[in-house]
Amino acid sequence: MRSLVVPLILGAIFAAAGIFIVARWPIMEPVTLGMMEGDAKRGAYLARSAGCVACHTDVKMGGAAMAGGAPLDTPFGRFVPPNLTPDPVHGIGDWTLDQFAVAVRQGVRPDGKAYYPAFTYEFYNQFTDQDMADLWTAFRTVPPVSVPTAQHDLNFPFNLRWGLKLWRARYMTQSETTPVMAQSDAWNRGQQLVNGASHCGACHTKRGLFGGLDANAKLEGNTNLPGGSKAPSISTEDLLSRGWTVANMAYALRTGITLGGDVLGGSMAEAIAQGTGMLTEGDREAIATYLLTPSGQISVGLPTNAAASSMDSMAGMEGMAGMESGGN
Amino acid sequence: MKRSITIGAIIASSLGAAAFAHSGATGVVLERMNGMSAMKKVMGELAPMMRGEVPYDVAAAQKGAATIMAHAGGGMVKLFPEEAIPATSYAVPALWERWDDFSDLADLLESQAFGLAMAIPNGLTAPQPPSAPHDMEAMNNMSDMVGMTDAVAQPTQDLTVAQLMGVEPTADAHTNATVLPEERESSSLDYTMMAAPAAFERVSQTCAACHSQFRRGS
Repeated sequence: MRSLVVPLILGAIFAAAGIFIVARWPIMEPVTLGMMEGDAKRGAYLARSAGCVACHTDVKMGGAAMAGGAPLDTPFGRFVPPNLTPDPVHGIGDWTLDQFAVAVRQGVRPDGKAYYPAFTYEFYNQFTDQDMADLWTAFRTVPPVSVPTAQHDLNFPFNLRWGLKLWRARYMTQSETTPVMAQSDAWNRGQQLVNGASHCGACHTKRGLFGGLDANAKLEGNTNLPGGSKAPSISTEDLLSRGWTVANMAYALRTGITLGGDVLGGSMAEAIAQGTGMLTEGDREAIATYLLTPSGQISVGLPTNAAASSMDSMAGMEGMAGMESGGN
Repeated sequence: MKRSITIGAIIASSLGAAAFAHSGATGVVLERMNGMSAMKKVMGELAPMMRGEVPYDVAAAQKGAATIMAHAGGGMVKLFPEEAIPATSYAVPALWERWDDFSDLADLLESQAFGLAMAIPNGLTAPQPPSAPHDMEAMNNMSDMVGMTDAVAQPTQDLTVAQLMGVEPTADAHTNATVLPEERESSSLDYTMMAAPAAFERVSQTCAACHSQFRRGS
């Protein structure tokens, strides 16, 4: 009997020490944007393209803008998108721009703890400093709502937030956007949106047992979405074989009408109504251009005038130069 | 295998039993699948026309609008009696739990299909002079894409900060399916002054709103 007690106690001590070390493990990289000035219009457009508004507003229940979204039921439990209005108590009114940038680009809370990847920060790591200042300015225009957000309701062991640090070390992905000068502006803009802000892969890439995105099956579909929805493969090969073109895909991203005439429901209906449907026509064409261009080929499709002008006026993200200097 | 199913279906229908769909649906489930499929066919045929990719055919478009009208509204809701949902059905329980929302959308679809029929003679662009400036379609910019000069009107790209942040609804939101029924005022729309593609897109918004709430999967 005694022979068991000592290893048990030792085991418990090591476990406690391990948890202590993990819990103290700093995951945040400091950001100093200070009082950097932002453009509300560009920020609002980025907030729309990145799904901030769609996820953090409970549109179906008539909820106030950014005051907390509809719960997301996943295999890990229920996630509740929090109140992001400028309310100092229940929202993020007492945050600084630097804290906001760390939250969005790194997935780390102001208290140094990690966010769950239900918050799709993995796709936002390449947002530039200017993007962050613009977003922050746009977020500050929303009326504060003094209503607390319900807590996540997660199953053990996913309810242990310190475990996320281990998750990050093993599973966290980062969005990769590499400007290609030989490609059209539309293709490059599409790459930014698909791999970054618009985070198509959050649904269209399958996730492993612990919710990590499967880098080997990028955009190849996911049969296990929250709420029982399925996301089909949107790999270039599959899209082309099904007959998609830049024109009909850009149209589908506005209207939901697919090739055969079915109108998309499920969570894509919301992604369209609250997201892609509110983007510029140029950006929808850019998304389609990028998705439909086989790797190693130069993008084909519609003329890029519309996409180019949208990049100038309200891209909500830096152009090519900004992409290179951005990120963290 | 396929042949034996076909033969089985022929025998079944020849015996006067309910016909079998490819997915095995029977009775009202089959009827509503047929209705939905008929509307899907219309949407699939009209979409390229509304994009200006195929020649605009007023008669075909009118026929399509009439098909949607026939399968929407009362014609649709009567095919959804409250009963245990068979495995072959894509309906979700919320459809009966929020019956008023569902039947509102079915009615909205019928009136929008009627509106589409009124807008179809206008063709791909809104007639001059444009309607009230706050109407989204009136502010559409013409596409300047090569070969599509008078084809598809572009939706406005000039949303305000408040609209983008979800604080204020978009200009046409109060007339479409994206808002709650009590906030909807479809009566203010003048379809006779609307480009057919704009009326067609209203129909698709209603399909999407209904599918996202009351259809299983996507």
